[in-house]
Amino acid sequence: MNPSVNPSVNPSVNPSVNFVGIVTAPPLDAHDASEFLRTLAAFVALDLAVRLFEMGPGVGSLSSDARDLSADGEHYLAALREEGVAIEGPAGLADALASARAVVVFADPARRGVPALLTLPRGTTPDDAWLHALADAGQVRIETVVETT
Amino acid sequence: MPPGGEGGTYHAGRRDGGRRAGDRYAAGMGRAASPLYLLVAAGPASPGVVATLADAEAAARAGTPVAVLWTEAGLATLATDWPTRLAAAGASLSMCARSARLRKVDPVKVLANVRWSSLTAFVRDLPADARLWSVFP
Repeated sequence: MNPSVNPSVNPSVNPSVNFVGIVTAPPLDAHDASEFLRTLAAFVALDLAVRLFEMGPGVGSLSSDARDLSADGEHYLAALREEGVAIEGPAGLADALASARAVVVFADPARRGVPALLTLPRGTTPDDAWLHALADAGQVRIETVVETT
Repeated sequence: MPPGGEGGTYHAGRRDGGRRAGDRYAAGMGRAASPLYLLVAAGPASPGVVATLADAEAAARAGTPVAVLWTEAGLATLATDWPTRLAAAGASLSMCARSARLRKVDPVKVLANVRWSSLTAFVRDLPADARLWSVFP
């Protein structure tokens, strides 16, 4: 296992390089999670720290023994697990997002898409309203502005 | 009503909750936006995709280095005017060759300045100070 991919395994990992994956899609839609999982696996393959969360209707989509992933999806999920990426519940999500560089969301394709974009300034801990909006948002991102010298 | 309102953008920590192009905002404040890498894994009909592409286009026009990778369902966007718009704005464009083969994308119909690349190469080349946005179905 590569200890650099899971801060809980290696506390010395720089938290600023965290990539956070979030599943809000219900288990019935998990079959289409392959590209989402492939993206996270690409991060891990390049020794970038990844944490993976299920929240709201997405709880159980990856972690349940009865999940319905495609063969590719199972392959990428197994690769993530082999590298020490655990599927976490929503409790630690806000703190993870506060230290994350980017977020990748696998959402319910039938979501309302409201707001169209949900943005979190890098280094900010999301509040409850932000987290509640996550499952219905069109797309989600972490934004960074660099000071010039 | 969700934060930011119907169809808008909600920025945590901001009171306005309205749409803004972050790169133009940064420039106006005497700051520079970091490079933007955009992974497009969803077609234009998915929620928030067009708004994200528009923000990337605005960022490129504002002088921010922008790199876009199309993959899987996002390859449907290649048949729209977005590649032309993003290229005209100065963005660097590429598509995942693996996905293109699987989805039988006709190379002849792809804009010439869209490079054949891979998800791994795209992530590998991510500068340390870059932003990464992604859109999924």
